[in-house]
Amino acid sequence: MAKLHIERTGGLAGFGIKGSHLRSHGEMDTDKLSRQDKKIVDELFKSKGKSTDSLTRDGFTYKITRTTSRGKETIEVAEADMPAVLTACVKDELI
Amino acid sequence: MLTNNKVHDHHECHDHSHCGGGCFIIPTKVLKKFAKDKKLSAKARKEFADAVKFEAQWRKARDVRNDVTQASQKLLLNAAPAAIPYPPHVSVYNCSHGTSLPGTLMTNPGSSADATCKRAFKETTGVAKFYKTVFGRNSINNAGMSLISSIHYGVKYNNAFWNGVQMTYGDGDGNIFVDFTKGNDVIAHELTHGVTQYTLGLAYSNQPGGLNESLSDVFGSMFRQWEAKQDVNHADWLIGKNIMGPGAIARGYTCLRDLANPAAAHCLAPQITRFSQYHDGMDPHYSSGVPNFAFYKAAKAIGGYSWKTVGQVWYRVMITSGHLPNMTMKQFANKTRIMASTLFPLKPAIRAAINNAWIAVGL
Repeated sequence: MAKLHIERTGGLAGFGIKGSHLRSHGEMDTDKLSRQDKKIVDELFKSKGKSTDSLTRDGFTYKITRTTSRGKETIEVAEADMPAVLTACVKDELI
Repeated sequence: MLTNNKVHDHHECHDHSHCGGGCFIIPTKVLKKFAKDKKLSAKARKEFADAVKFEAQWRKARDVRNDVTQASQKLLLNAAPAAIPYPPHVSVYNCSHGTSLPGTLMTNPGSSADATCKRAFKETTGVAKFYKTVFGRNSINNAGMSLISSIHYGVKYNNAFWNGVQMTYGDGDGNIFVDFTKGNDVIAHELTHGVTQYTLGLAYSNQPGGLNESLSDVFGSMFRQWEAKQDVNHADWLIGKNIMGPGAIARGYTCLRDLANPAAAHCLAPQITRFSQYHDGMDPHYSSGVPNFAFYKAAKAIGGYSWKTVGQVWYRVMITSGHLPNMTMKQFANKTRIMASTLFPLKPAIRAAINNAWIAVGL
């Protein structure tokens, strides 16, 4: 089992950028993911989350950090490439 | 319907001519791997194999879209204006809280019982009129391109975006933000990302990214001022004032950004104000504070209506510079200096105000 920490950044409002009062994050245990979603997450980490979309403006970017026995690993993923189950666990807040 | 699985989403979006980058795409190599994964059912493997075929087609379509964006600018220079339809067709689609784009087409959006639909239609039509009346531009591509908006995107979705083809608006969570279509500047901001795509074609990182965001804020603010018939002294210069939710307002936040005071504490996302603070890797919504502040300073120094003077200079630089995805802020500043003298040869005060504004922000 690994724990995923997901942070949503960017967007029109500038979530999570320097100085921003907006933060958006969530956590998910990988054993709560379906087999398909687990595979998608594994492949995102293998491909380093490379974005497929170059023309979107004001879209969100997601930083996924995976903590395993080998340590922490973080990738950045464009909104269009995110599994819906992970975007759904992220909550927006004022800081 | 809200989908909870990206593969499902991928298959739900049948009309990909509208979805641009908005539908969910799994990397091809992942799809191929799944298509051969014997741990999955035969049905699931076939679905992944089908998705691989679609993925290749989608990527080709995306590349064509990029090429068309660039090529169309050249072709449009020679197009006969009379052959181009005006006003552009404005359509609104309802995502019904799902994330498949574009959603379901709303009939008669201008008289819809759905206030969000009516507002998206009215303000998008207004932005098209603004660009035509003030700048002589016919829609995003200056060739009457249909303006497509999707509303009610996602659940409590705190964002609006342009995906290369269309605008998309969330309803907000009702606490930090309310319905994003309530911001006429937000609608003009997103539509201007399209105009930038078809003109300078600015990249979305580092200096061109900051310029890209700034142009959307500047034209978003100008549209708000133009609709309210406000001169530079009556304008509030705020971005996102009308989408702030009760939770944000209670904490003293009045806007996303403020062109008059980009670093202000009342901004949800304060920005840098001087180029000396800039470094590569900054989010474009942060670095855009520099050109935002320059535009404000120039407009205030000139006075009157921003869209009649400094706005004209900014717009002419956008449409006469060609495709410059890596344009720096300094290059843009210098082009506005030259353009001010070209456009207003008998009004040197305009060139001086623009020059002083750029110098004030360190450019």
